Amino acid sequence: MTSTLVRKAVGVTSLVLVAATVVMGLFVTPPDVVQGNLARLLYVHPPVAWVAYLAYGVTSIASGLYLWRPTRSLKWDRIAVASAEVGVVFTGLTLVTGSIWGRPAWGVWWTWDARLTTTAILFVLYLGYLALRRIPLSPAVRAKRSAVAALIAFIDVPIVHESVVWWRTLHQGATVATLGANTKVHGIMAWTLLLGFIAFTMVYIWMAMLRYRVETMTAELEETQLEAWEAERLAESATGDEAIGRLLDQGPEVQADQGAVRR
Amino acid sequence: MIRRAWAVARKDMLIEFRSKIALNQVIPFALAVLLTFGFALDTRDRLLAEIAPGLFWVVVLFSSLYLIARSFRVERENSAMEGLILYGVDSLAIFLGKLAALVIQMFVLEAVAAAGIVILFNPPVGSLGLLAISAVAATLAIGSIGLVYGALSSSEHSGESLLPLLVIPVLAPIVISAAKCWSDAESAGAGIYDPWLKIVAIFGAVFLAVGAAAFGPAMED
Repeated sequence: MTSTLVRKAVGVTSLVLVAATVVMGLFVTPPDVVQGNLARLLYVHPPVAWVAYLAYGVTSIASGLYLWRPTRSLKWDRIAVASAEVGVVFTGLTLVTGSIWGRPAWGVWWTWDARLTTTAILFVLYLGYLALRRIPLSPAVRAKRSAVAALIAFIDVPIVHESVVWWRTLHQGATVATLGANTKVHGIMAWTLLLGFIAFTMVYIWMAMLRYRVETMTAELEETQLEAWEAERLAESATGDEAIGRLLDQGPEVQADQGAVRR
Repeated sequence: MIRRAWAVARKDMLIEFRSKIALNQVIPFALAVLLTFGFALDTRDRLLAEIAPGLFWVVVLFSSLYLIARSFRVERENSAMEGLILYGVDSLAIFLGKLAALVIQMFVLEAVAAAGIVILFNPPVGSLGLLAISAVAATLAIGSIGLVYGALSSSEHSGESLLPLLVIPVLAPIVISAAKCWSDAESAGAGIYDPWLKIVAIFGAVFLAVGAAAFGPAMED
């Protein structure tokens, strides 16, 4: 009951905060000197990217806690999948909003910049994680396998980032540096950006909570179905036993009858 | 443990010698892909020679996925992997044995693919040493990560495309650094003191360690 209340409170808060970000970002803040209205993406794109990283961080910690025997519990597995799914959605949003920004700002939808490339690989990496989770396996086996995959992804991300940075040394820089400069320009823009971060983090928490609940309910449903199926089988085998018993009881008579016919 | 690893490696090689899947299917597949690249990208010599390093690793990575999938298909038949575990074979020994057999097959594949690329696309080759050492590091990395994901995705219900989806993004750093090594090896002055060789060697060691550590938990259910 309390968990439902908390979830509703978080949901309402996040919706209000997102609405506030929309109002602040579109109407209250002034357009940027250099980028004009385009800079308004600043209130969406970095917060969304931050949520993606946060989500994968939570998935990694939850997966580690599942693999570590003293804390092994399917609860962690559910947190891991809930967070990873929201993370994939937000990574997709990061790529889309980045492209929308990149097209007018850089003249291209996509550039092989280190940050972009890493994000794209991150997206595919966790799509793979979610695909791995779709294999029908027992919950414990699936939890273990996906936890291993999540931890490999966690180790892999910095390696991918480093390698792409070295690969694209010439294109590096810009992204975060300009953002930093922008936030210093105008007080209200910085506050709106902060608001965006809080709003999207709340949205993440809300979505992850909902997803966690769906996961718990699915597990419960499977359990109930399994129990029902078991009971059905038991009942069936009971009637089956009776039928066999009846046959056995009748056995000699039937044989005797047949014998009579043959004779 | 070395003896057990050796036994597992010998078993896998024996299966290959008898079935000849790698020799009769995977290596010809790699050659077919090379030819297709030639058709698809038109036979402008300069272009093909320029992109040869990347093509090589793409072909090797994709073909290796078949070898990896095969390496686990033979274990799933008759639940052979459970048998190995029940015999008390250490998971690290299984990992090392399967890795050894896989790497040997991949070396043959790479030698054929490299020869194919040099003959068909005609890129210059400056340093064979750089090529060979970077290939060893990259092969160990591909093999290790491939085995872990092979174990993770091993199930009757997992589709054929799951393994590639899982492995390819993880190995992006290896493809980048190994292809860079080959690019550098094309210049006449190239040697084994190439900066990218250091990077691919470090990545290779990291992925090997990750593979060895993760294979046990991935395989034992």
